Amino acid sequence: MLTAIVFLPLIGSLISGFFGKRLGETLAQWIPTGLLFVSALFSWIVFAQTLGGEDRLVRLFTWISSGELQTDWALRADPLTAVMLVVVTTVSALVHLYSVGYMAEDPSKARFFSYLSFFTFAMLMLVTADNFLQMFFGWEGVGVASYLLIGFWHQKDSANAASMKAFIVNRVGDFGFLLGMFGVFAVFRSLDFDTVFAAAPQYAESTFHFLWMEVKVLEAICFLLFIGAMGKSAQFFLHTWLPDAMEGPTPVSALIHAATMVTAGVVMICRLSPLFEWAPGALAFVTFIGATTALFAATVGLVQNDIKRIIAYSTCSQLGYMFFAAGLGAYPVAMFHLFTHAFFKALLFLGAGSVIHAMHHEQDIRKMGGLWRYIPLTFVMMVVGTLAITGLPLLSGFYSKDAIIEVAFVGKGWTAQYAFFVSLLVAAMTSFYSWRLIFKVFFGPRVWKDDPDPYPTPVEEAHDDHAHGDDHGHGHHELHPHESPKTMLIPIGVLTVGAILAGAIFAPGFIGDGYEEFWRGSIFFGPNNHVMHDFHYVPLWVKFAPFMMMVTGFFIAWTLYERRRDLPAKLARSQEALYTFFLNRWWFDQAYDFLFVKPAQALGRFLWKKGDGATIDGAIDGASMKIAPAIAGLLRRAQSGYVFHYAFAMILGVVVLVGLAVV
Amino acid sequence: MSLNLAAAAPELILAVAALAILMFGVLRAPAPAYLLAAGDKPAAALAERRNAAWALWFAVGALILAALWAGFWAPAGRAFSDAFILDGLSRYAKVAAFLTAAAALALSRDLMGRLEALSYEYAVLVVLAALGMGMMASANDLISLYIGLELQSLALYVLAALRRDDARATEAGLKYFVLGALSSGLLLFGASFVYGYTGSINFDVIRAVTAVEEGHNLSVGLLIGISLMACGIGFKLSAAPFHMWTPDVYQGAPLPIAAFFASAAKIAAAAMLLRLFYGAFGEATSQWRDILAVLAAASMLVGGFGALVQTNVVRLLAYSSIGNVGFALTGMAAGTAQGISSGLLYMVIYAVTTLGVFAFLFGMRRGGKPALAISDFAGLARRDMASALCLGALMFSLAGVPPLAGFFAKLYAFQAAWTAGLGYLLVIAVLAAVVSAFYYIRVVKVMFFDEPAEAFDPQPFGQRLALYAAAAFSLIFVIGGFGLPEAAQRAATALIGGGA
Repeated sequence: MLTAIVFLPLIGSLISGFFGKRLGETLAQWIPTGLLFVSALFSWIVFAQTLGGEDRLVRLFTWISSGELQTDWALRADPLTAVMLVVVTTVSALVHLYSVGYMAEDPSKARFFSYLSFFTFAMLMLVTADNFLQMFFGWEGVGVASYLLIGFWHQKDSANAASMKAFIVNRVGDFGFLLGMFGVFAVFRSLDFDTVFAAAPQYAESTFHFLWMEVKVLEAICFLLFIGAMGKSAQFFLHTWLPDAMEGPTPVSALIHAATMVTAGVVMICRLSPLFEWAPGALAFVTFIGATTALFAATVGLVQNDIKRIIAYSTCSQLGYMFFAAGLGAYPVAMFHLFTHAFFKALLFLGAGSVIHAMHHEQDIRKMGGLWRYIPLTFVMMVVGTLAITGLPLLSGFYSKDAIIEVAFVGKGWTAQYAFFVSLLVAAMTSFYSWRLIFKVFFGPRVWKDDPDPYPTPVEEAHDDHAHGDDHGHGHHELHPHESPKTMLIPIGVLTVGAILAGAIFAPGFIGDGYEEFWRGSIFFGPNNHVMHDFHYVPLWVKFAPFMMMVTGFFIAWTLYERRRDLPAKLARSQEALYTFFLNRWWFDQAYDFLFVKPAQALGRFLWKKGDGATIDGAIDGASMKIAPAIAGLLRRAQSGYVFHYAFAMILGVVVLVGLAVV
Repeated sequence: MSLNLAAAAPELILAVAALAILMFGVLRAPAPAYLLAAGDKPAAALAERRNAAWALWFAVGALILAALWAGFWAPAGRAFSDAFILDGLSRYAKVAAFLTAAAALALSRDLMGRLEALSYEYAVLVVLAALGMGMMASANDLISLYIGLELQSLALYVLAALRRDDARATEAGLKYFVLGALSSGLLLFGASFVYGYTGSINFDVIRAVTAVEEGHNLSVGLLIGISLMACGIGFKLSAAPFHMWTPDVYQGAPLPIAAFFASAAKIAAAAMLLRLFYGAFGEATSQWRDILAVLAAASMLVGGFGALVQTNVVRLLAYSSIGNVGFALTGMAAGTAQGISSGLLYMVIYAVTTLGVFAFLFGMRRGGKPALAISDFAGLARRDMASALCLGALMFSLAGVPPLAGFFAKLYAFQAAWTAGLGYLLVIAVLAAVVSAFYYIRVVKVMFFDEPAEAFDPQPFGQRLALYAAAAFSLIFVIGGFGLPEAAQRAATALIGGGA
């Protein structure tokens, strides 16, 4: 069954990739979608079995066997994997279904579904990996899929640039992963998780000499591996690709750049907890980076105007939460937030997609407004998503996010204190920018009326104005041509249910008292790590603080964007420096452009023009245009067709060979 | 002094099969044309063709049976008073040669019928040639080596000129015969030197006598003998500078026969070379390494550069054959166990790949006429994607692009040469590989990016299947290699270890 879960998406991908044209659009969409639903169903079954205490390991076949390096293809199902299986296949299946509606007008559907299914396969490979190499295979696989999907609309220059940026920035991280993997092999002489984890405690104190200092090997390895996680999960310094990745179709953003791929880094750290637990320095670094990312992304998210970019920064920020939770040793809490986040963030993205769909691919929230009457279902579900992310009690985000903030409170060291203050601040900001989005999009004046390409058409507008009095006429509104089709609304609906309930249902298992039973051996806690126990006992004010922050954020947003619409502009003017700083994303892109991109391009241009063009091409041209044809011509002349010429050549050869042998 | 016929059973099967087909052909032949009334002639011609087809399938069956027998059932050992040996090497070579011969024969059914060259003699000649190949691979003294070689060559001469009413085919056959006779003379001359200076025709004795200490040289006469024999075998392998017949014969002979030349005949010649140099002269590796290295270098360069200016696909494949033999020789020049196994592996991979390409060439006909210019491939991808993809895979495999089979063939050969310290040869090999990649990939370019030419006549299913199978072989080889590397290694240890 485990094998089926992983390989059904691959089969779907191959079918619609290679036979898409022959199958026709409908089948090319529904076959991968259907297979994914089967895969998702199996995942839930495996999840249930795993809860019942069954771990499994399916060995497929030996991959590499070279000297000491022995690597198998193996699928591993333990609680950690099972959680990810459920998240990945469920969200992916829903996104597949959603895409049927969303991509209805796209000419290359088969390609899209093929990529999407391939991504799912690679992601499943990553989470079921039994060793570093297979994990890296999945890691690179999702990278490729992400690259292909970001650049899916390859006729758009910006999409191409974004896909390249995503790939290159990820390469930086992957390089860290690779180095970490080399380090693991150098130290443990194995890449198998079980072998490495079992041997980890012995190496807790061993060091090596690097430049002028003694470095602990595990610290170095974990640090390098975390660089990989930073790239994939868009953490501070390597985050620049994620907002640009929004150039891809919205379902892609929901699946890859919100719910699954970007969380791979978190999964990796939890999976590798037996290593990280012995590397407190690396963990502190993880905490610091995570908290900084959360703060940074939230501040930038405050002022963005592109609906998808706002959610992208929100993702970035939530990933920061997960990382510092993991960095503080509360891996189950990080995984729990990952789990709930997958639901409400996919919900927000798909909802945003629905908005974009309704607005004919307009993404600027300044050009929206008052939409709640036109797409009421989407509106309701978006609000639920927003409530979930901001952490309204009893919704899913409340359980996981508050737990993270409490973890930060009880965590040890200055990074924990830093994380705690940041997390409170960010909670308010999250609430602010999320509500800002809702207010700008769904409330307020209908700015789009003034659009040169007015929408909806006047007739329909009249129609809608007429319906104004009938607020709850859902049946009536569904008839409205601009609410999204059912294939899009159903997945959003399912995710809405998930966003509401996932927290309440799973919180006791994931992070409650039974957490050890739930995770069993898949997550390791060092002897001094009691954070999972401690965070249940925090002062009352800590428990209330996130809620207060959320309400504060909401009120600020409400004041600025609903009650006093003139204030934001004034505020931006009065704090112009800060505003431009945030609007330009802390100048990261510009700095990287100046520091890395420009010099790299200059170097590339030099090597291309002078090195390749003048030197190598010159030599090759000379060889291929002059020398090669000359030799070929000579040979052709020798091939005269006369037997005596041939015989002469043979005798010549005999003379040479005999001469060579004798002399 | 024992016959030990069991060890030679595969050859016996082929001999009996050849005789049986001959008898069948004679007994079932319709009356000669001049005795028939005009009205009976078409019926007689039809009967003759049907007989020929039966003979062909019978021969295919016999070849497969012989291959199975050689592979599984024949006990290893020596026969005919040490003149004949069945060990890992001969097993490997026989299975490969017989199976490729069977494949070439089976594939040729349709085309030979179209060319009106399908006669039962054709089947007999192929079986006899295969018998000669088996003997070459199993020879353990100079006489049986020569007899096997000559049996094979005589059959091949006639095969090349099978269409005796076709000027090109007869010219090709005659050229091949004259030059072949010259090379046989060289080989015999060399053999007589070897006998004269070692006092024996038996390979085991020769091996013992030629064992030289490091830093010493063999006597000059023996060296002349060795190099002359290398020349003779080089001709059969179509190694440069003994390659000149190859393009003319490939082009002149009927296509299926060219395919047979390029596959089974090359495997047998390589096996004979290994048998002689690693068996008989196995203790004097340092003495002949340079000879093979020069042959290898010359072949790779001629194969690479010669193909650049070709416009005909068959001539292109002829040069490709020369070049590939050069790469195989690069490995075989090593003089180590690795050299043997890499050579054996190379030849089989090459044979399968080239047979796949030939299978497609059989069907490259427009309106019943062959269309064999490279430009005829133009735009194949748009007319027949599956074939274009398969051919593309085969071309990339021939060019040695990973992860296709051809890459591993080259990899093992280069590894063998490198560990034997033949660095300079590798430089040439890599250069030649680059040059040859150009013309293989040019075919791919023509197929995929040029404006489509007219469609070919529909291809028989068998030929398509062969193309797909060869492409699948070169694609899947990366996983386990079908056990071929292990089999080649076993063959190598059998030979280096002094025989079965």
